[in-house]
Amino acid sequence: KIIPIEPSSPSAAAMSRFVRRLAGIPWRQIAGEASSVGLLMAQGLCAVHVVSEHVLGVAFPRGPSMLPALNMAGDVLLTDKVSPRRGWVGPGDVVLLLSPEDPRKIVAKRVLGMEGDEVTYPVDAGNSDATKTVVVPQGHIWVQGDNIYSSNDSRQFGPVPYGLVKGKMSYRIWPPSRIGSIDSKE
Amino acid sequence: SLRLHGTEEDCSDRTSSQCIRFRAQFTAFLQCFCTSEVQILPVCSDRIVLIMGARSQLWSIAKMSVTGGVIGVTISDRYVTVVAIKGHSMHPTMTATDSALRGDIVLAEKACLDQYKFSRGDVILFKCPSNHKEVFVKRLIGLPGEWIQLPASSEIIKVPQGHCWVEGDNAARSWDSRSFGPIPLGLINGRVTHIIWPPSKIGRVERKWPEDRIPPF
Repeated sequence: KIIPIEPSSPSAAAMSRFVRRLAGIPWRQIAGEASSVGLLMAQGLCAVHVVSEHVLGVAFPRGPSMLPALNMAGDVLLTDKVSPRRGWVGPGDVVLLLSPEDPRKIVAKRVLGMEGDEVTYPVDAGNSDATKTVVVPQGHIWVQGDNIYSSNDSRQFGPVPYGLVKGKMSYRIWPPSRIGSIDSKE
Repeated sequence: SLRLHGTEEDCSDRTSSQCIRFRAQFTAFLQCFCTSEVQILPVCSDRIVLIMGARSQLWSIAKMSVTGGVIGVTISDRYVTVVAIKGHSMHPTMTATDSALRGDIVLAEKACLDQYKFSRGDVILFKCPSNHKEVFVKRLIGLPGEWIQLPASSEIIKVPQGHCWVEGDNAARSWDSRSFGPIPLGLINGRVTHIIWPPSKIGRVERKWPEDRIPPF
């Protein structure tokens, strides 16, 4: 039989009341609920990662190099992540790739030539009409911005390995006036 | 399928509030651990059994495997991944045999891909520049902007910005930057940190500078 110990002073009484209230809180239930909510959130974040990295992502391209197909800012594009992995990328597609000059930068350009293709490009757009023809090496692609006067692309950094392509931009979902698929022109 | 029957003190009165409360609490407790619905029948018995339909068992297995797969893919993409070595270009640091089970298995970390900050002598995984489906493992010899000397000739080469120079430890059997030139850092898939198989080789993969090689400047 448990004999309760009488508190000897008012502060001790307050202390024992506090301890009793602490013991009354359902700690195990709260911990169980918190861990299950935490696990659910982790699962949700993992699912978002898998979808946006391997299936379908969203891109916000900025800059003048793809005018007039893409605006300088404010466009929201759906990025198809399945096509590059399966090799379903061809000339005329607008792709997202890691810049060969700085891997932390992602750039959007149009593919002009796949491996083995001959690409003729203006060497110094705006100043002269001189062009040059190259053959794209194996495993590489030639990318160029639609706006050749303001684009840093394969004309400067050469053909890029296909492994740098991270997504194919196929559909614009913002602004509403231009919703629709991105033209794929040669 | 299993069945749960509650053991109650007063079996004669199944609707007594004590019985109802005990069943509710026990159901809530078991629900924390079960993915499918828990049901406790108010039947007098001296054994406790859980109700689970066969179809919901398959569904819970499917749900658990999809969840496990999603979490596994996320961890493998962002933090750490396991790779089996094929090829002899990194002998003797890492060896391969013809059977995938007996080749070396290594651990590669992906945290380095956040800022692309590498050090000379790191062993890295990267996609082959002429075939994006193949992954190679080699040692990083030259960082962006460095001047390095090719081992065979006395040529000096500058590694362009955003690129790196890779070479295998086994120079005779390694197809590396000496053939395909510097590779863009964007092709890198991860940095190898440990060997985890075979047990005799378990340990860290050290950052090592090849002997007789002039360091870059």
